[in-house]
Amino acid sequence: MKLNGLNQIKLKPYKEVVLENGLKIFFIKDMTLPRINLSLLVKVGQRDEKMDTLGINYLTASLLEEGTSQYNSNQLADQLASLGTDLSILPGPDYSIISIDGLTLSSEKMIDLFSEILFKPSFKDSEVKKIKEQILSSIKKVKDNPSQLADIKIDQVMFKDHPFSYPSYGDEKSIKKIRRVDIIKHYLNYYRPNNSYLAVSGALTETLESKVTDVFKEWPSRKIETEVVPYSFKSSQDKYFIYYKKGSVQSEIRVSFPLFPRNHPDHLKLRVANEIFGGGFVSRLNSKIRDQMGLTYSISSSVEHRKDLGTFDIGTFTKNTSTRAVLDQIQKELQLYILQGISAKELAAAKNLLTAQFPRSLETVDSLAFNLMYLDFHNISFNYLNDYYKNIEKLTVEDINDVIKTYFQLDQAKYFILADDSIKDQIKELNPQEVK
Amino acid sequence: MKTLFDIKIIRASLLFSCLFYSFFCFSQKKELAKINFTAQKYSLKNGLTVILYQDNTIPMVSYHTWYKVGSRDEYNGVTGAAHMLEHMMFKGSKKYSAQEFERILHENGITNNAFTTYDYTGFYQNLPSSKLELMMQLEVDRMSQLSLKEEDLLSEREVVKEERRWRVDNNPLMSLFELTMATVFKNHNYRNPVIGTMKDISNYTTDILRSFYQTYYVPNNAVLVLAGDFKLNEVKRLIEKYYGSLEAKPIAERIYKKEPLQTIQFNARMKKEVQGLSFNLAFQSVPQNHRDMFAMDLICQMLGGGSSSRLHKRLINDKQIATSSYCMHLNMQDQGVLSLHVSMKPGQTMEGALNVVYNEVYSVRNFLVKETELEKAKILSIKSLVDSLRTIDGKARALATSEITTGNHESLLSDIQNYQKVTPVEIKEVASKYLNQNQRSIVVLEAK
Repeated sequence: MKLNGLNQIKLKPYKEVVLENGLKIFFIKDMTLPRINLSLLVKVGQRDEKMDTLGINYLTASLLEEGTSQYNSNQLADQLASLGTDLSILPGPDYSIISIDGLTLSSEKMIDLFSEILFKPSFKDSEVKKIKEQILSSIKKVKDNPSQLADIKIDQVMFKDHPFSYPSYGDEKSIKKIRRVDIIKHYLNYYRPNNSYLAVSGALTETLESKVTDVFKEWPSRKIETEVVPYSFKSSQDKYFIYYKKGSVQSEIRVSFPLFPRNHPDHLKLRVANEIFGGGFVSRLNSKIRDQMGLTYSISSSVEHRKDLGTFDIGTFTKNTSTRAVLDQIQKELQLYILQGISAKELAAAKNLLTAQFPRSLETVDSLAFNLMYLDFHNISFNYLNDYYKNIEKLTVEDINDVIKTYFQLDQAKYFILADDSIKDQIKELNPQEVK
Repeated sequence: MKTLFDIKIIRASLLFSCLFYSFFCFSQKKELAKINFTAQKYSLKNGLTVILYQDNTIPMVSYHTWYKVGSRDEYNGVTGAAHMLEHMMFKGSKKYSAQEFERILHENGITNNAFTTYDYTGFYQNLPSSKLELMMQLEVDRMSQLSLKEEDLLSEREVVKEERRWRVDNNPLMSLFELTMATVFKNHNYRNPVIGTMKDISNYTTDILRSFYQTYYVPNNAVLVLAGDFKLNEVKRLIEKYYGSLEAKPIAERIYKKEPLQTIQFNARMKKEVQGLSFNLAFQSVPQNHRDMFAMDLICQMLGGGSSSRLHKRLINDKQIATSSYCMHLNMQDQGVLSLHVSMKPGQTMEGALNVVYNEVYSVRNFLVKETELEKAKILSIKSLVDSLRTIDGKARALATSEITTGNHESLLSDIQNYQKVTPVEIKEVASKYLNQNQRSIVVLEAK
């Protein structure tokens, strides 16, 4: 039986070109709308940083928007706006994406401006100083946002002594230390065609394709010097962690345990396991803790993959007085899940949801473009997309129960709470370690 | 489920994908747009408005059911009732018990959510096209025979309290927004939070919610929008089959409290555990569809829309005293609000930033803006509308919003032309009309 009557996804046609300088370009044509998007994925993120220059990649990427050899930051903002384009810069844990989109009316100028931003950033002293100041202010202000702060703190707990234990923008000490010359060095080393993918999607003509190729072939390649220290999760006896935030009217709760990287044969099985456990509104976590107990507005789990490792994460919040009740219930649900496994009915529902919603992830040419770069970055064959339905369909209850038993290693799980200190008595016996 | 606010930096409005081509002409040739409108609209005998947009690109349908009821329809002591009812719509009907609705959707690969605003409440699903008839059965069932059981209300009320704590009480900037609305509006229900006060959330009864349900969740107060993979004749047959037998109910004329014209500056302050000061400088604006709405949108764009806006350049790039600044033009059916927000760097006082904001507002009121600046604002405003239409869900949402806020989805097709027509003289005139000292509110969030 085919799930939801679906057999195989029909991918929109795309063209793959590798330039002499090593840049891999995906062209995906869609003439229905007169717009184009260019996205550059550069294989550099926090994983490439050292502890004494934390945040250098975030700083470098952010500075691309702050001026080129031709325009200062205000002029560049005006140029982008007057062409009706959006520039987006997303420095991530493993890679950074810089993208621009706009109407075909201005596509040639947009390509020129994009290349100017990428190839000729000015990294002016004044701009470096300005962005550093902004980051330092943001580091302080993030304390106002309990959800965001809790996400940062659970990483601090999980990734000890690794750049991932800090937010992508680094910390106060490292940001102050980073010099302009460090930024230029970082840029020159990593922002290279042989370390990047480019996806061009939208209303493409041959002229536009040639224009992109002509512009990007001029980008000189270079041997990438990188030294990534493989990270392994450190086992520790500490299980509970707390950060006290005065005046907080809710407790933010996070639970996390180690998983494998994205490129792993059990990935799809874990996604199904996650869907049933905490993926949606009828998940076990949501049914019990939100719908039956009324203890939160939102609770969910997710599988987070990075290049070298992954984590299984649970996140929620509750009023201060029910902090312990929610924490205990999460633990109970995890234990039950490992003990009982899933039912055939749960599996069928999860399969239906994952297959039925799959076309949405490839609905626009921009989303297909991102998927192609993402899969290639993780060394995963594009057959993943073609075979998605087939691979979901063949999963059995036993497959899912096996991965739950194998990967839900609760002795490695860390429990983090961000709360007002009025909850101290509730968690006293857990003897939590205070996070600074 | 059941998200609450739907606010964007500039007006969340709605156009059709085919408008791209008209926009294509706009910037270069200054021609008025040609619009090729392909959605079908009709009404059932019971008054249900139906809008269909066929798009067979992917095997999915976006299914939107929006009701013309929001927090402006509430009365003293029941703030947040429209939102609470939205939550209760997921707690089962006479046919399906609580949780069964969600379970059936999940088993059939359907995602589902809803939201409430000041003026309307929307429910939406994204489903495989093969499940369209099933979805229709479920949606008609809860439109006509919701259970509203006491025990469901007891648990869901706690969920909504958690939602309020999370969205507002534990979120300083949302607290600032809530105070801003209560400061700008002294009389109209827009002064009340959409989610309601904690006291009122604690006191709803099923009778109150049932009264809301019976009054407003009727076909003649609803708009059904389907976008995606279907055949028009077949979908029309199904709509008639499932919705056709529902009865229309007379809805008494709704009279909303009028907000008097502001004649003196309002000030309000609040203190929270925050690292730096933030403030909103807010002005009463025009109702949805007022002729000055487009000029106000563009003023908002020029002052605080993105990194090329005046406030961003002056406060973040030049003076470097703020961490963020933006403008929000919130268009509602009875009246709008234009709010300029500034978050200061920790340690910075408000004075310098406030003077910059005053100066920029003074400038748009007293001097003609440059054509190039206005053109930039127009292109950015139009692009943000167009960008929201890239998916079938975005198109369905756009259609539903346009229909429900104007009573005619096609009226929004003129938005692009209306933006195009705005001149520097009009910008100055409109700014002079609404952005005066005696019409502003200054609402401040500061550290305890």
